[in-house]
Amino acid sequence: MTGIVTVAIPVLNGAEYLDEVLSAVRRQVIDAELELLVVDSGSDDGSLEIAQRHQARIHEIPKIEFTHGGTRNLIMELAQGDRVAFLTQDATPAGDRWLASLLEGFDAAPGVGVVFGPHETRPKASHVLKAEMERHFANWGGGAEIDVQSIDRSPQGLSAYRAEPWRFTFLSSVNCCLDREAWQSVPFREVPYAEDQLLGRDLLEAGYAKVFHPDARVLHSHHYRSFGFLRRYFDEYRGLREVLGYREPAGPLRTLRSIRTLYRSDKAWLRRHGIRGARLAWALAGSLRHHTIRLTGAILGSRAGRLPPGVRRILSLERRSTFEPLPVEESPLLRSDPLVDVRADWGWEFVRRAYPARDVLLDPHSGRTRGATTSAWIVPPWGIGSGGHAVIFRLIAELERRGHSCAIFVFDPFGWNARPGADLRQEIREHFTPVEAQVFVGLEDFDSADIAVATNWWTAYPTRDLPRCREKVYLVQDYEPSFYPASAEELWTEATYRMGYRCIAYTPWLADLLRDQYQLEVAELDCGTDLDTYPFSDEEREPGLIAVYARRETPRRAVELAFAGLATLLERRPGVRVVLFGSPFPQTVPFPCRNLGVVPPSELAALYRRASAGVVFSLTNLSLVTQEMMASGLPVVELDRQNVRSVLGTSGDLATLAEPTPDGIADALEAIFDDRARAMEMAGRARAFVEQRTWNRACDELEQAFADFLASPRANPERRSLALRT
Amino acid sequence: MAEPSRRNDTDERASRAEAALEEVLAERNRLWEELHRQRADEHEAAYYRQLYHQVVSSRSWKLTAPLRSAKWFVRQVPELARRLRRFLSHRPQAPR
Repeated sequence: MTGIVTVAIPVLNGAEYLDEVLSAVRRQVIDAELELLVVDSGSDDGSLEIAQRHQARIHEIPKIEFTHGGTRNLIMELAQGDRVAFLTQDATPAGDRWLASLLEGFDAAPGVGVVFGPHETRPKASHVLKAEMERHFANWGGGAEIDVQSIDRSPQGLSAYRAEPWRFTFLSSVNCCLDREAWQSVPFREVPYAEDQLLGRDLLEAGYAKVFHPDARVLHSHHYRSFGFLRRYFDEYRGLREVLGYREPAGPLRTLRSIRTLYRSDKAWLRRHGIRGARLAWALAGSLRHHTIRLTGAILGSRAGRLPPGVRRILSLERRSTFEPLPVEESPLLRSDPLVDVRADWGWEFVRRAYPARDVLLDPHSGRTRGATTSAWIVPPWGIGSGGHAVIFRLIAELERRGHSCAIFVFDPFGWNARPGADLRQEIREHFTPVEAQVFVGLEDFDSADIAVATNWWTAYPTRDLPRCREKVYLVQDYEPSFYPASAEELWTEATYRMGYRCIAYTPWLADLLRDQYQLEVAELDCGTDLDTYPFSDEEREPGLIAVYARRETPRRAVELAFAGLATLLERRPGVRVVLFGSPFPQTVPFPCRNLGVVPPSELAALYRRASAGVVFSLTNLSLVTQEMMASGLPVVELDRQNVRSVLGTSGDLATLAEPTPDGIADALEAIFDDRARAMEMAGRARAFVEQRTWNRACDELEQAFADFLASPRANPERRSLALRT
Repeated sequence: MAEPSRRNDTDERASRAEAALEEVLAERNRLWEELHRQRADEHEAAYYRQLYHQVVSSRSWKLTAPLRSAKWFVRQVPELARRLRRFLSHRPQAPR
C-alpha cells in the first residue's frame, strides 16, 4: 500500500487522553504516508497545543457548527488520504498494527466501503463494561475473526437483514476507516447523532460491504457515577429516537427479563475470569445496578418526547432539554407497511429460482431395463380423500408388490403440512393404501433414483433439477393450465410441459393434448377402480334418486351447470330427489336436496347402489368418480365433450352424454329414468369396461412406460426443448 | 466343432455376468431402501426429541414440577424409612 492515509480526530477539550491518542497514532506501522488531521471545535484546555506537538494538521471550526455527521463530511473533504481512519479524542489505538489492520480489512472482500474495529475498555473500567464490550463485539466473527457484512438481496437475505438490521449496519465512528470513493457516493448524513449507524446502513444498502477487523482495537470507555450513566444513556437513546426512530422495548416482565439475561451473562463472564465467593456477589450487585440504570436511561431516552423539558434537562448529561425528531429518510429495505407482509418463505420462490429455464437433469446410463427399479415420487401435500393422491399411492403400492423400491417426497412450498414424514406415512397406510415407501418432508433427503416422478405442476420444478436420476417422468393427471384463469399460475403450469419430461397421461384425450400441443413423448395409463369398495349392484334402485358429485371448489366439475340442469329437471318432473356429495362446504342450491359432504368410500358405494342416476362432470380429464359410479352399476350422466368421448365413446355406450345446457342435462336424466332397461344395459357395459381397468393393469402400463423410457436414454441430456430455446 | 463351443462359452460367461449384475442391482436397491429407512428413522427420532424438549420446557410442565417431585418423594418414603432405620441401628443390613 502506498499513498496517503489520513487519521482524523474531531476534538473539543480532549486534553485528558489526546496526547496518548496522538502518540499511539504516530507509532502506527504502515507502508504509506500518514496524515494526522485534527478538527477542533473550540477547545480551551490545551488540546490544540497537544495536536501541534504531534505535527497534526489542525482545522478549527466554531463550536456551533459542529455536528457529528456534518463535521465528519468536512473532515473527508479536508483529508488528503484515499482512506480516512476516524478516532475520537478518547479512543487510543491499542497497538501499532491498529491502522494496518483497518487498511487490511479493505482486502477482505470486494467493494468494502468501511472497516471498523472493536473497543476495549480502559484498565480501570468496571467488569460490567468489559463484559458488555466483549459481548457486543463478539457479534462479528466471534470478536476474534475478520467478518464481512453485506446485504444479500435474495428474499432470505433481506429477511435476515430485516430481522436483525443492527447486526449488519452497526458502525462506530469512534474507530473506523472509510474509503473515499464510498464516501463520495454515500456521505455522512448531516445529523447531530447516530451518523455512524446511518452511514453503516446507507453503505450496505448502496451495495458496499462493511468489515469488522478484530485486530483494529482501540481503548475506549467512559466512567461515570450511577446517575451519570443514566444521563449518558438517556442522551444516547434520545439521539437514537430522534434520528433513527428507535424505541427501546419496555414492559414490566420484558424489562425484568432483559436485566436477568444481562445479569446472567455478567455472572458467566465473571466466573470465566475466576471471580468467586464474596467478590462475585459484590460484582453481581454492581451488574444489577448498572443494567437497571442502563435500561432506565434507554427507556426514558427513547421516550423523551413524552417528558417535560425540565425533566429532560435534568436527565441529560448534555443539559439539553429539547426533543427534535429528524426527518431522516426511512430505509426502503427496512420499511414496514401494515398492508405488506414481507416473507422469506414466499410460496412461489421455488418457481422464481427455477429460472433461467432449463431441461431436466439426467445422468447418462446404458439403457438397461431388466430388474427392479428405484423410484422417487415427488408429491404435493394432500388431504384425506384426495383422488389424485389415491392413484399415486395405489401405483406405488403396486410397484412395491412387484419388487420395485419407492420413496415419497412431499414438496410443500406453502407450508401446509406441519407433520413429520412418519405421521404422513401412517396416514397413507391408514387412509389410502398400505405402502412400504418411506415418506420425507421436503427434498433434502433425496439421494438418487432410477426414475424421479413429478406428480403435479409444482413438483415438476424441483424434480427437474434432482441429481443422480436416470430418467425424469411427469405423471400428468390432468391438464393443469386449465385450472387457472389467465394468471401467473397458468403460465408457470404450462412451462412445466417444456422442461423435457417424459410424460404418463391418464387418458387418450390428455395424451393427445400433450403430444399435439407440446410435442411431448407420452405414455398412457388407464386408472384402475377399486372394485371391492364399489361392487356392482343390479338390484332395484330408488326411483328418482340422483347422486351428484358437487365438489364446487373444483371448477372443472361444473357444479353450477349440474344444479341448473337439475333445477330444470325438477320443474319438469315430480318425485326427483337429489343427494349431493364431495364438498365439505355448505352449498347454495336452487332446489331442496341433501348434502352428505365428504363421506367415506363405503358410504358413497351405498349411495351409488341406491341411486337411479349419477351426475358427474369432467371439463378436463375424466373424473375417477365417474369410474366408481360405473363400477357400482349406476347409470352416469357426463358432459358430451371430446375429453369424455375419448374414454367413454358416444352417448349411451357407457354413459349418457349430455349437451352442456340445463335442458340437455335434464333430457339426459329423463332418458335414464324413462328407459330403465336401456339404462341398466348401459350400466352393465360400463361395469365390464371398468372391470378391465384394474390397478394391476394400470401398474403394467406404468412399468412398461418406465421400461420404455429407460430403454431409450436421452441422446443429449443437456438438450433444450425447442420452445425453451425460443 | 470349435465354433459352437466358443459360442457356448461366451454365452455362459455372458449369463454369469448378467446374473452377477442382477445381484449387484438387487443389493443396490436393498441399500437404497436401507438408506431411506435410516434417514426416516433419524427424522422421526429428531421430531420426538424436539417434541420432548417442547414439553419439558413448557410453562405447564414447569408449573406442575412440584406435583411430580411430591409424587417422587412419596414413592421414596419406604426406602428413606428403611435407610433411616439402618442408619439409626448402625448395623449393616443382613442379606436376604
